[in-house]
Amino acid sequence: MSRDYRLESMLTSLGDSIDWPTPSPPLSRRVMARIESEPAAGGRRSWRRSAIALGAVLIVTFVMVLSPSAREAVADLLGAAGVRVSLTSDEAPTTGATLNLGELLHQDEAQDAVDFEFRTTADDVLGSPDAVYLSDSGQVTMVWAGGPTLPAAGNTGIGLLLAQHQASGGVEVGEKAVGPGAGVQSLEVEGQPALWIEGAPHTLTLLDREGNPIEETTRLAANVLLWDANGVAHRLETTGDLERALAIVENLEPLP
Amino acid sequence: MEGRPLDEPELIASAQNGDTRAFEQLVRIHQGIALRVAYLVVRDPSEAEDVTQDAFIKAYRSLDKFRAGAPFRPWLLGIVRNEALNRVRGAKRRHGLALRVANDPVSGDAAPSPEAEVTSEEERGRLLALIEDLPERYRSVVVLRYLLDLSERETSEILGLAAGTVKSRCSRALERLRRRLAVEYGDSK
Repeated sequence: MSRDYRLESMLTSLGDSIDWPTPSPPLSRRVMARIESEPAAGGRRSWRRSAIALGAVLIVTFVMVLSPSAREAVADLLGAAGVRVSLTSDEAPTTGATLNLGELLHQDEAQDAVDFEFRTTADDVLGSPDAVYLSDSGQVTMVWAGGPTLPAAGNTGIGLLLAQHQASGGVEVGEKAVGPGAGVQSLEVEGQPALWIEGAPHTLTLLDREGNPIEETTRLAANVLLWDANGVAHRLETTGDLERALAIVENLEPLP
Repeated sequence: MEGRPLDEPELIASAQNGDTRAFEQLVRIHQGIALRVAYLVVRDPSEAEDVTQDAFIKAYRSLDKFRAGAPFRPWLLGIVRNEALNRVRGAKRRHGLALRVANDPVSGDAAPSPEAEVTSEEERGRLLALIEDLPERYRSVVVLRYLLDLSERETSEILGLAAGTVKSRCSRALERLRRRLAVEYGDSK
């Protein structure tokens, strides 16, 4: 016997019959008491404005190899837009250090564990990722072992790394600290402002969905492409060049 | 303007200018659904209240990021959900209490509808269990879209997903639920 359960209306009426908790009367009073006793800190607000300013900067295309004097110029340029830029003179992170990408999972398990739809590549040459990790912060990272087309970076054994996390849905690159010798190029990827950083390890500060900064250290001593698509921040690290990176992006697809 | 209650955009504008009373009204308007969104994630009533409180504080402090004219509810509920997810991740757990059907069913039409046949308390409980059984990427869409009766656009904004993704997940989730229901009711016939 075939029955149409009119599922959608059943689901909507089901919502009304759930034993929901109800706000206790003082909830709004408690909120207001806290607001009145804890004035908002200005730091985070100005930080966010800075990120937006950087977003504006990213729209302008520029390519620059960062010699020390050029680095100063970049600092001036971005600084003029209100962006806090740290130029690191510290040693770059060791490429062979433990990658600390989180828990090793099957890609379907990772997809079930996060609230955004991450993408992987259907690239013929690369095939499926060799490992998928999920960090405590909800970042999914896929890695592909190095091979003839994408040599391994340093002694990591990895030729391509793609990290994705739910982002603020706009500008997610708040601050960058670029090591000596790095080249930075701004461009558009999937219709969104993106950064391509070439040539040296570096650290990055990204914004989560609420604009909170997340310190990120790149894992490979390789090139990095950063962009945001559909509210998901992407970080692609590879020994390949920009053209190769963009070809990988073109082949990104959600899990079947 | 005196004497007329402020509408939501006016309340938001006033709150952005530091009027805490205006923000308090926004809290009152949205606290019910905010609490439900928090509860769907943390599954503990008192923790959901804490999360809701913290989320309202964050929203207040983030008011300068809110774009004038944008819909306020999905923006707020996105903050609530994210706060709840952070709490759950911090506690290294996924779920506490399962959702339960209340003892006193929904008020509605007195005349029995076709759905009424399959929406007895027990059957609603079974449907809820099937929803709970869905993978997270489908469950989150179903609970926001249907159980909380939010629009597709609101659902996509809260989850940070493209509208097309919400649509496709909804349809896949419904298909899964239909199949499970067909098996259960088919077997009982």
